[in-house]
Amino acid sequence: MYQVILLFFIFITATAAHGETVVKYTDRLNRTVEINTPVQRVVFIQMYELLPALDAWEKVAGVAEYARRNEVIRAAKPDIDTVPSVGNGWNINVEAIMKLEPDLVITWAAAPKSISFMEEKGLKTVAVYPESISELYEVMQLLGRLLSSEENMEAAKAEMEKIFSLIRDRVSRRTNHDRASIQADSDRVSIQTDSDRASTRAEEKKRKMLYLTGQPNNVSCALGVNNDLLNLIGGVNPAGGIQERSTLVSLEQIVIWNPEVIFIWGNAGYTAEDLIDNMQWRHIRAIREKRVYKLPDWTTWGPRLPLIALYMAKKASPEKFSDIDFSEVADRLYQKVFHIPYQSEEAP
Amino acid sequence: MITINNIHFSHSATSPAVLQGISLQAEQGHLTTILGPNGCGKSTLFKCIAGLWKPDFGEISFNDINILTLTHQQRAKLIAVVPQDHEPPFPYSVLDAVLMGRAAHVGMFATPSRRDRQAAESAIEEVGISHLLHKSYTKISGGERQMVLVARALAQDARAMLFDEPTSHLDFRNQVLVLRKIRQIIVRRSVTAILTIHDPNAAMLFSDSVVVVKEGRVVVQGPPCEIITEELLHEVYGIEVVIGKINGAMVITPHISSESSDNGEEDAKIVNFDSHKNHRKRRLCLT
Amino acid sequence: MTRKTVIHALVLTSPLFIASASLFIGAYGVSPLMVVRSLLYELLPYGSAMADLPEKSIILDIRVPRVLLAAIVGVALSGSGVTLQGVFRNPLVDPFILGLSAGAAFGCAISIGFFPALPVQLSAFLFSIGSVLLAYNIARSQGEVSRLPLILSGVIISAFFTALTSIVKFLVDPHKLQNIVFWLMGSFSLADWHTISVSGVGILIALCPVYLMRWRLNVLSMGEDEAKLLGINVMRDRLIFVVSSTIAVSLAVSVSGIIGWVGLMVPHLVRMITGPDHRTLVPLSMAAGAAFMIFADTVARSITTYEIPVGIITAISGAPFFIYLMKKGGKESWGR
Repeated sequence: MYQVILLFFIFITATAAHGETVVKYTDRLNRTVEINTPVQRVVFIQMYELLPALDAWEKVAGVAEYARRNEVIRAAKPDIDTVPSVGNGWNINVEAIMKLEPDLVITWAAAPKSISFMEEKGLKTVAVYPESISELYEVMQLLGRLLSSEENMEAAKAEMEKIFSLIRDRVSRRTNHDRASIQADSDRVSIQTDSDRASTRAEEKKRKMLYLTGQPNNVSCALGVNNDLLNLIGGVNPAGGIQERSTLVSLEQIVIWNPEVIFIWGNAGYTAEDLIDNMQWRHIRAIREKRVYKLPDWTTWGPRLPLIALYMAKKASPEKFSDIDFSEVADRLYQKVFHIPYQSEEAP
Repeated sequence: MITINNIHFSHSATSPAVLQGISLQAEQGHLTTILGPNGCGKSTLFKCIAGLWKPDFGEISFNDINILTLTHQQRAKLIAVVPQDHEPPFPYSVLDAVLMGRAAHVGMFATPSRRDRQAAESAIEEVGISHLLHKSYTKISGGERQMVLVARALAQDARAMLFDEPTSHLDFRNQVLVLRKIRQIIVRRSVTAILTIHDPNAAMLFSDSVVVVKEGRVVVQGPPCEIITEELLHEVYGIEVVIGKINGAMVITPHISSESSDNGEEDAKIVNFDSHKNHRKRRLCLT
Repeated sequence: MTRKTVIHALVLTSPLFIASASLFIGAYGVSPLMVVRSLLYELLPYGSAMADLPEKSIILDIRVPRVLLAAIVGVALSGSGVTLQGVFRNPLVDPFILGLSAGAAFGCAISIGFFPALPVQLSAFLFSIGSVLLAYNIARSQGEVSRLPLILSGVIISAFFTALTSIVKFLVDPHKLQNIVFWLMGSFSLADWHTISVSGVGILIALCPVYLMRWRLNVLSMGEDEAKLLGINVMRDRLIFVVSSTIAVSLAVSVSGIIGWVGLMVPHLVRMITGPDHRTLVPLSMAAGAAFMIFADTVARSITTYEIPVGIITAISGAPFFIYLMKKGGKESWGR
């Protein structure tokens, strides 16, 4: 008799311990959202590249159409088309989302109107917009918690950190080539004071690098992950004083900045050749030395961020990464995080 | 000479005909007036002659040229129109406003020539508003503005002129002055002129020929002193009038009192000297 | 030389003065001497003394094309503005009244948002023309197109394309959204010789009929009926004016985005100064438009490190001046 009662009590406490907890999260729009975890049905309008890493497909009620076209997802989950789409580019269908009866919708913070619209319809939404590496980790952690996939997210984070550390480490290393190039740099500078010479010897001279977005004169500024990447690979962003994510600047301003390396957003409508061949840019050092690189068109809101960083690092300082095989590193990450191999045509 | 033959017009297949077989003639050098009450169809007729609306059938010709088939530009060289209602869009100077009358003569990609400007200036002089040449035509009086429109029509150098109720917006003094001036011009330039008006007195005083229109039909056409009778006016306007002669001119006055006809006749006797009823013997028309 | 002629001459030559001044202004410090030398270099090869210096490139490859493009777009916007104000007998009409800007915005949005293979300029251009075509066809009744239906259908088309553009903006990637917004706000920042040779020449050609037929705008402004009575083929002439303006403005929008106020305000201001006769109003509006646009763009590019959208400058500088003139002019300033 007592055993039965004891068992009963143990049972009750056990279920209570594994019962629902409420997560309070303050999202990018400063909304505090209370979510009952674990969630059972989530719709991913954004951050979908984490899905193969989360590996919680049974909890995914729906995805944005873009997710279905994402090459990583297609490789990781070939039957992605069985997951309901909440709309292709022309039509994010709030009704479709409602039909799926999700517990939660993950979307981006750039469209606050759509969020309030969805909330009115009774959909619980979380708005994200990771503007730095640490924020990205934070979102990953949240999603891990919500979908009971914390370990996967920790593992993904670890893999990402590996690559970031590699980059940080290499960048801060002073090689002989480095010393020679610092000297060569300082020789090239036309006005030289004694203190200049002293400082170029004393510390690594950071190279000016620009990250161009949708238009060639739309440069990434202080806010946002692009700036973090430039700093990470040992560069300095001349537009880093402007407190915006990105802004238009005049061509004259770019000539004044005279960056040594230029990166172009992977989804931009123009190529590196377009700039190299452009008469107006010819006096800029990066164009003269042909150091203009278009990045692979991967999203920065996902586990491939360190690969983008590595790509940039290799282009910016090839001598420091000459022994690193991009495909190898990429493959390792793909296998560990997405559980698929890396297709080497995706990036040079 | 303008000949109008059996004009029919209705706004659509289902609505009643506004014009039901209008025929009339306007002689060169004469002022022909179309007279009738509101809604009789004279504005519709006017628009058909001016080329703004197309009659369902019938002919309108000017000196044997069928004007119904002409383009606006061709028609404007033959017929100049002085509209009734004009809302100035921008404050053009009088000269610029009159210069627009030369539009039919100016090429598509050209601006008015010196000859055009001279035509405009002499038209302005002819109507007597040279002192307003550079004044903005929004800042002059109603009568003066009407003269600007007349000058504009003159500058067109057309052989025929149409006037749409030129005096309806004018005060008494200007009515007289404008009509007088129009008559002068017509006679001097020997144009064919058609004028629509609703005031029978004005028609009497200034016209050579009157076309009386009622409900889309011509009732009668002829010299005013011959055809305008008290019976006719009663039939067309539904009002009792008395026609008398003052200073050699025919004058129409309405019966004011509508009480007993006894009183009416007495009044008539007092007012009426040289009664029109004896008109057959005495031709008192305008010469 | 009457006072009037002097004023006209000043307005007509104003773009030259402002353009010259503008060449000396810019983020990259170029000494006045270098500016002059660079310009002369192109006109008379200054020996081989002018090596390929960055200063010369700044002037000849960046500043001159930019000033020129601003001028040409100013001509297009105010030239079309004055034309449409005459056609519609209304001094408060702007070149975008027939739905043009909404069409261009939509073309830009779908090109940047969904079809990157389609160049933005082309898409914007095609959709601006398309929207006016649509408006024209909606307004057509029994083969005739009158003023009021045309304006109404312009409003409808505007609303339609604006709604579609909002949908696109709602759905698109946030990075692309920012590009769409920047593009729409209007900028001359990427002006180069290639752009000028294509769209600049196109704009000037498209405005030729407007310039040559400018006197007829006087007559057209009298109203449809009166213009017909005066011998004008109203439908044909109006069509020519609308088509020319539409092409010119579509080209302008395709290279510089949507810049407001210029097409409305400049012709209106010039009309207040010079009177409504289109023989002088049209060329002077075009000149004043060029001058104003150069001025606004110079401010937009030199006040801060980053570019201010030129549409903001035109609104900020134009609106108060406009209000002042209106108050001062009273009823007359409305053109009545």
